[in-house]
Amino acid sequence: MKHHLSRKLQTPVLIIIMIDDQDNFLGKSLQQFQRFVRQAGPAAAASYTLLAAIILLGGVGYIIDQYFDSSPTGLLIGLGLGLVIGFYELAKSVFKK
Amino acid sequence: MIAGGEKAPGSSVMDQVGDNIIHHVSNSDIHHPIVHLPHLFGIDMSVTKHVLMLWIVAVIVSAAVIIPIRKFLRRGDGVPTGMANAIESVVKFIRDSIVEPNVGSKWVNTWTPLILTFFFFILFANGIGMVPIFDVLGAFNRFVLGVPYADQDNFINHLLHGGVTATGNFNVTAALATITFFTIIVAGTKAHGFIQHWKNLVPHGLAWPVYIILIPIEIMGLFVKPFALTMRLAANMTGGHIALLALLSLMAIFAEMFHSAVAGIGVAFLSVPMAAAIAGLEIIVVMVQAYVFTLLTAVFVGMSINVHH
Repeated sequence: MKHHLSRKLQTPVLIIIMIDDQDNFLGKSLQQFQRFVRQAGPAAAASYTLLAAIILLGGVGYIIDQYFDSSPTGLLIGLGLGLVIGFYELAKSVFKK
Repeated sequence: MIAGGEKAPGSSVMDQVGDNIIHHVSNSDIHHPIVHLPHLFGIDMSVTKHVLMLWIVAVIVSAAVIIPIRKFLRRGDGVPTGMANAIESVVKFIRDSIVEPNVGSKWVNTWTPLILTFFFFILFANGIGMVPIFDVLGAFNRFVLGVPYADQDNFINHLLHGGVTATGNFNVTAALATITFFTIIVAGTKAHGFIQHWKNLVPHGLAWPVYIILIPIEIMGLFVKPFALTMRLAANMTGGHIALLALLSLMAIFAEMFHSAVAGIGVAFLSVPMAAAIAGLEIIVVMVQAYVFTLLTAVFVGMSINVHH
């Protein structure tokens, strides 16, 4: 009987602890998420810049080729320049002091 | 798409599907605008569908943000409830997790309002693209009011050309990215002064031949950043809608290919759930793209304030 009572008393306590743990879990998860967001910013910027540099400069090269009928020289130079600029921006974020 | 579909005589479904999809995701023709307006400084100021959407989004954002905040301020008890509570949590998240770590505590209050404006505007513009307002209006116009699609004087028929995601238009995202471009320059100038900001573009103390290479690279890099913002947002918003419409078009394509409505209905059991799944994914994309634009703007502004070479 005593054992039964103590179990009865323990149950709500356990539930409260579980809810508390769950809140902690959610809180910790959100904190982790915020930390990842902070860390992901420069990496996302570098990756998008790398891609955009290649597309933009490649596109400019292609338009120059169309205008001066110099295909594929302009496109190749544009893509090369895009790679250089993209990797330069990537290096800036990777080797940031 | 269904309500706006126009069957040219003698053409097959396959011929029409591509045009229909492009019509849906692109802006309406400037020569057939929704509202005719005069030219100003040589620019046709007529309202096309995406311009109308921009206005609608501007009104909705203003109403959804300003009204709850004014109410909260008028109450003056310092405890936000309802919508003001939701806005506060978003504002706090963006200020503390996105803006402050990038621009620093000194400039956080200067640049948070602009970055928040970007976030709310893009979020609402992306989100409204998922609401089939004009498709429902078109269906109502056609099946309830009985207006034929060919009636080009009808106002709703004018609305049916093009999609409703204004951020799927490269001109809109380019305009937003242009604001970011000038923000980067203004932020750097405010933090370091005009001359020093431009000097900060390249690392100090290098041999002069290196600068011959570095300065053009940095100048081109200046334009690449807003271009990255422009392409990513518009391409993501357009791509999802194209995928959605392509899946739904399979029903018409299969029905025509096998000359049977049963084939079309059969494919619907596959294409409709897949379209629903893509629509679910699009809802995530709507939020992620608004968030990424905000994050990248904060990072780029932060790079011009906190210079590291």
